Amino acid sequence: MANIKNICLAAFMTIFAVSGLFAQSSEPELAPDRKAAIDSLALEKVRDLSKYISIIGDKETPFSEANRVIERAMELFSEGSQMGVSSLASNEVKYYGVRTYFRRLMALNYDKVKIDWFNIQYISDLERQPDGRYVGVITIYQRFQGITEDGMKYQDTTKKDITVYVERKQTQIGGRLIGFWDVLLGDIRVSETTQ
Amino acid sequence: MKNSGKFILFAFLAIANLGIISCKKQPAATVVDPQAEVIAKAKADLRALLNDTEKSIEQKEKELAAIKALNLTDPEVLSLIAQVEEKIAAQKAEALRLEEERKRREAELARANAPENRLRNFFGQISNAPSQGAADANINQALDMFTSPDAPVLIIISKAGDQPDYDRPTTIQKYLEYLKDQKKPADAIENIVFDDNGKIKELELTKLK
Repeated sequence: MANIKNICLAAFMTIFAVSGLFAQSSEPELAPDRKAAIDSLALEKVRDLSKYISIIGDKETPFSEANRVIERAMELFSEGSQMGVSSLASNEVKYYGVRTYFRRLMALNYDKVKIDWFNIQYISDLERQPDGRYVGVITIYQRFQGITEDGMKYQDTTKKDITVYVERKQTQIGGRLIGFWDVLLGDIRVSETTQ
Repeated sequence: MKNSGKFILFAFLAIANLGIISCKKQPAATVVDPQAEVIAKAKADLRALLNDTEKSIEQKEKELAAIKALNLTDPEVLSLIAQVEEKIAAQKAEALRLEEERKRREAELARANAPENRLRNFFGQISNAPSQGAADANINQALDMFTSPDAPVLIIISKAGDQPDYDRPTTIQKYLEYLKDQKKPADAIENIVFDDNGKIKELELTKLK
């Protein structure tokens, strides 16, 4: 029985490795300047998300504008991505689909909300996967500050890790075939929360 | 015979006397020197040219050339010619300066009205808008330059030889809203494709500039 398992595992690994080789061989390795360009593009997308989150959370943002910005922010994520949410009051990290997270952020029960992201950097460089996609992890620190109507202030700083996927795609524009890099953000996981 | 001789003598004297009278009738002061008249006229014309404020430069040059063609050597005429030449040269220089200034203004106006510059101005006004309303007003005006709010916008992120790598294509409406939300400088304009009505149907930007 163990032998059959081993044979199956070996066969699976061989197929996986061969398919990976084929996938890799279809597209040559990126030149350093092109790789640097997609690294930079992914960081820019994370910074864009940071700004969108601060607009959505800002109580002065009109409802219609916040909804519009949610749609723009949603375009940054791959389907089914989740956002981790933590609090100093609990050790538990809750995960929500990003749209639900944005809706909750918009409805937070504070009079004023200020959210800043800082120290945005790669903790795991974009690496090419067997399927041709590039995957990396960008870490950010989020400073959250909420002030209630009666002046009570809550604030925390959360370190979050964002999985980033970059994929080469093509589309037709004006009768031309355009090759582009599609940067999509995946799950955002909380790695620590401090005051 | 004696009488006829007297008559001839008398007639001769009478004719001679008549000649003396006619000579006396022509006073010396009224003798006209044609050259002096020409010089006087030239001086008057040259002074008129110096004081004139209405004739064109071409007209003045024509009149001056006519006077110079007389080849007068009178020192005052020569001095006046030099003064008129100096004045015409100054007027020409001023006319040239004004023409260059006019051309510069026209070129500036043309540049400001060029679609690329109008669009760049809108980008700046949207990114730096003091309020959401101001940004929206500029977005609406900028959209008028396009065939539709869905006109595609391509953004170059790198180039491999002549082959550009793009970010995910977007639309002009989304790009303008992106500038409003992110409040950051727009990417540089690389290429604009117009339709037959002069509206922008495709925009290419670049992060490489």
